[in-house]
Order: sequence, then C-alpha cells, then structure tokens
Amino acid sequence: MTADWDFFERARDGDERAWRILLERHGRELTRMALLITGSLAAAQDLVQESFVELYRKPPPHREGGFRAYLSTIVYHRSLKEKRRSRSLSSLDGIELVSTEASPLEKIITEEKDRAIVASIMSLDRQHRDVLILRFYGGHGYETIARLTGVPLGTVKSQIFYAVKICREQLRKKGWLE
Amino acid sequence: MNHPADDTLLEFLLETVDEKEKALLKEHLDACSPCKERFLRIQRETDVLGSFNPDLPPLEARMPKGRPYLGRKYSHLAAGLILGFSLGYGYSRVAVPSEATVVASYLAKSSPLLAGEEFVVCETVDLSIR
Repeated sequence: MTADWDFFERARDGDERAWRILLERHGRELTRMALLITGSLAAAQDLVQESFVELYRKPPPHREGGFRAYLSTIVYHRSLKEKRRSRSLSSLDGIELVSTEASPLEKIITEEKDRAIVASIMSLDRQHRDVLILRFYGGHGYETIARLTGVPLGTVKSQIFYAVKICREQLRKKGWLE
Repeated sequence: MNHPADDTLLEFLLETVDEKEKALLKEHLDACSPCKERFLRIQRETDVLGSFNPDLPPLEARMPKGRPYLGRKYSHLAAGLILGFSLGYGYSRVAVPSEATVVASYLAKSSPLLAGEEFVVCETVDLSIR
C-alpha cells in the first residue's frame, strides 16, 4: 500500500491531519484537471471536494495502484457530468446562449503562456481534448484512458498523437516553442 | 536504421509505438547525437502542453464524520463488554431464583384499635440464585 493510501486509512479512522495532507498533495492537480474539462474554477473545486468525500465514504475494496490515479477517475466522471449539466443550462429551448464576455476559465488565467496552452487544448474536439487532459493532467496510462472514455486502445494512441501534434503546431505559430 | 522523422520521435516519446520499434529507436537515439537532440527538443515542446499551472486557491474539503482514531482500536473491546453486560443483566432478570431467604425483621405493635394483637411482619431481604 502506498503512503497515500496509508494516509487515507488514517483519515478514515478520523485523523484530520492525514486528510489535510491528502488535500494538499492532490487537490491542486485534480482541480487543474477538472478546470480544463469544465471551464469553471468554482465547479472544479466543488466536484474535486465532492470526489474526496465520495472516496472517503465509498473506498475501493483494494488499495491498489496510485491514490491520485484512482481519485482522478472519480473527478473525471464528475467533471463530465458537470460539463453536460452546464451545457444544458446554457441553452434555452434549443437555442444556444452565446456570451461575449471572457469565459470563467479565461478570467482566472493570468499568464499569457497559460492562455496559449489552454487555447490550444480547447481548440481540440472533445474526444481528443479529453484524451490529452487525462494523459497530461490526470497522469493516466492509455489502457485506463481507453476504459474511461470507452474508446479502443489503438484509437486512444492515435488520438493522443494527433492532439499533441496539433497543440504543438499552434503553440509554435504563436511563438511559444523553440 | 534511417534517421527517424519528427512524427516517429513524437510517437516514441508518447509511447505509442510497439515494443520492437521502441527498441530500435532507443538504440538509434543512443548512437545518434543529432537525432537525440531532435528528440529532446520534441520532448521539451511536448512538456509545455502539461505545464498549464494557474494560481489556484487551496482546496477546502471538510472531512466527513468518522469514527475516532483511538475509539476504533477499542471499539471491539467496548462492544464485547456492553454485550456481556447486557446478556448478564438480561439473564438475571428472567432467571427463576432457586432459593429465597425470608427473615422475620421485627415484631410490630398494632394500632390502638387492635390492642393486644401482635403481628409479625416478614419481609424478603434476599433473593438470590444459589
């Protein structure tokens, strides 16, 4: 059992310090992943917090594999759910409401480089985007990504290659690469 | 092996090539400095995609209510004690005593209406299972 799972067991026994350690170790990266999928910091923070609680209340029967990898699968599913929910709210009677204001995601990005990176990722279609996010920000292997997305393994590998190539080209055009 | 194209190096980096090709590419990169340099450049550029790092506030998530840390250690012992006590108490309530001790406690004077009459008052002071 990894150290993180050991902290998790202590948290389940009531050790709040162990709980806080897990939040500090993994909360930020998981929020970053959820932010890229949902586009909303508030939603990302909420669902990551809910994911921690869900894991606490319904732990896996075996503490195998990485703690963050397991938790990020919960975060990913919740992120997709939130994305679908917010998409349905933004349309009224089938009419998409288009805002001219900066998106919540754009508002929190202060660094130009981050803005360029996010723009390149967001330019991808959902399937390619999710594969890239799960790989680079969820830290998942291709087998896990295939299972999470419901896409065959070979297709996942093709998608990650295409996604990375497109994003690199966009960043190069904007002068962010060598 | 010919010098691999950038796309091939990217596939190698992303680990989307099969094991045979992976081994050949590794062997080539170990022996070819220019290709190694190209690979490292592609690696740096690809790493940029994972470097999105906004300034995020710390996550606040209240820990759900759980069993106290020490309590869990002794919960089995406590449960056993409670169960044992409950069983013992319950048995004592329903068990029929095998012997009752009855003693005469005092000789009470009757009321003036019954002058001259003496009454013996007995009370049960001990009811125990022997």
